[in-house]
Amino acid sequence: MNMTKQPDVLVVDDEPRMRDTLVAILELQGYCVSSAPDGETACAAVQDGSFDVVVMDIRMPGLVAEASRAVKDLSQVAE
Amino acid sequence: MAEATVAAPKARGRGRLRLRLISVVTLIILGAAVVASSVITQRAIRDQERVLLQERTGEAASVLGSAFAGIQQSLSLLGTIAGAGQGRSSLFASAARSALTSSTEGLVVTAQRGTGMVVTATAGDAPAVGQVIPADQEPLAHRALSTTGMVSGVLPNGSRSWLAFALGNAAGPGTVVWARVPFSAGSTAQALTGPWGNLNLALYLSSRPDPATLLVATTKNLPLAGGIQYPFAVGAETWLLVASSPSPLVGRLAQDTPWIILIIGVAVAALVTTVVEAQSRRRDYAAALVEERTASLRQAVTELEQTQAQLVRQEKMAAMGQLASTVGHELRNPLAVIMNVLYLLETIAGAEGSEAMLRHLATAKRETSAATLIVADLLDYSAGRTPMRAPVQLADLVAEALSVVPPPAGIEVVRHVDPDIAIDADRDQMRQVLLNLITNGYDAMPGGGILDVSVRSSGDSARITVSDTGTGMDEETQASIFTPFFTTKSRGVGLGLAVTKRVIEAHGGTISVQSTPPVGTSFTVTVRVGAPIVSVPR
Repeated sequence: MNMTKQPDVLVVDDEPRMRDTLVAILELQGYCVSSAPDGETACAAVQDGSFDVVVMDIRMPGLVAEASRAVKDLSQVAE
Repeated sequence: MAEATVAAPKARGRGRLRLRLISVVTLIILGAAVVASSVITQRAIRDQERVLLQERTGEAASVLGSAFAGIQQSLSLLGTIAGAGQGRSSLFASAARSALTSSTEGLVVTAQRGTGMVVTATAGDAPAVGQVIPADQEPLAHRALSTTGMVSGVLPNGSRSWLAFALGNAAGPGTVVWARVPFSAGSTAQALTGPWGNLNLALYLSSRPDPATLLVATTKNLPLAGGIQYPFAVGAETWLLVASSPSPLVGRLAQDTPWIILIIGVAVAALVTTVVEAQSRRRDYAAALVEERTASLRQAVTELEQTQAQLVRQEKMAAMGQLASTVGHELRNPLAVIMNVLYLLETIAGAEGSEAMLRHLATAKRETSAATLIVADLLDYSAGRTPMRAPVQLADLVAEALSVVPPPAGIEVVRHVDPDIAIDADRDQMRQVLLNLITNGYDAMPGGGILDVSVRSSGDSARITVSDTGTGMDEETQASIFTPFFTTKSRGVGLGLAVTKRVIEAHGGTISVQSTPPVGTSFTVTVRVGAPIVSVPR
């Protein structure tokens, strides 16, 4: 983890306004924020990019379980 | 209903051994009437018997009387003949011969000669003319001479006796005409035949039934019990005829009539009483049956109404639960977005924002938080899930809850918590229960007060009590506080205690409230230690 750089954050939520406001708040705090509208997109993003933090709504359509597992795997790798 | 049919009316068993009042009265009235009829009939028949006996006795006496009157006439006539004959006894004898009957043994005329009585004429078996009559006959002769009319007496005649009739001064002054009838002394005890054959008779030579003057009787059982005394004149004297009846003159059937009336009457009275009793019991039974059926019908209707009301209530609750779920889910995300936006605005405004703007933003955040809590209540109420159990240390849970909702200014919290009590429960749900009870307690004390939270063990249960010193609740409010959507607060949807009760019951526990206005309110939750899981009814 790069200590000088602000952490990369992925926001996953199917609710667009919720997603947008969360992204806005996190960006305001200086984080580098990406977003995904469902579990599939989140899975792909987690495997492609390198996120330090994933903020995910667990009640959401589309591969939530898989996305959760991917996030868990990522966190183990990170350790 | 089925139970009512089996459990027969109480009236059936009652009074099985005892007659009802109406039956007793009927029996007494009928019995009295029967006995009275019987007694009256008996009295009437006895009177009739007596009248008949009197008539028969009178008849007998009058026959006897006329017979003796005939003797007196004969004696008078013979006296006249003897007086006219002037000592010619042949004339008297021939006249007397016709007067002699089978029973009359002899006829004699005597006259006073010096000191004695001398026979002057005779007929039949009698002393000869010129003979002096025995001295024992003289008193009768003297009596005849001193009396107007015939006298009579019993004269000794060896082993037998004579019944003598004497008429004084019939053949001239100082003369006596006699008639003698032989008979056995005392009673003959021989029954009569003929019209008076069914009577016992006794004839006395005086007006009283004196045994010394008894002439003749048809029975040895003297004096005659219950006999009719009938005095009648014989010449100058009065004789007495006493008669009784050994067998009823009115007839055997008439004699038995009172008993027949009694027996038939008693039978009828018993029958009528039985009918009355049966009718009375039947009526009571029917009345009791109707009463019981009516009661059970009324109960069934009441139960039906209660069931219906409960169904309506359940349906309403289900609809409200549905509504709560829909509203909760629809509002949750918008509220979260609004919260996020408010935070953004606050952050962006930062130090540059005016004081008024920041104050308004704070107000908006506070109100949004309140709305979020309501939505959380709605979701809790509609989501009601089965408890996920794990050991929960109640002392820790109380400390946690009080740190989440610390007491507002003016309210002091007092804890009496047994540190070692643990229950098998859903920690999140029990935490929600404590939060609800504690915040309710705060809300009840707007002017400040003391909130007492205690946890104690009670047998195999844990007892959690949350008491406030607030305004308290009236009976009506107490009865409704666990009903969903019931609230006395100006803000709130009235689900907190409904959710609390459901959670406690899902844990197999109980919750109760005691409130005394204006002293305060106390909620008591009892949860068994290690209680089995109860699935949540939806």
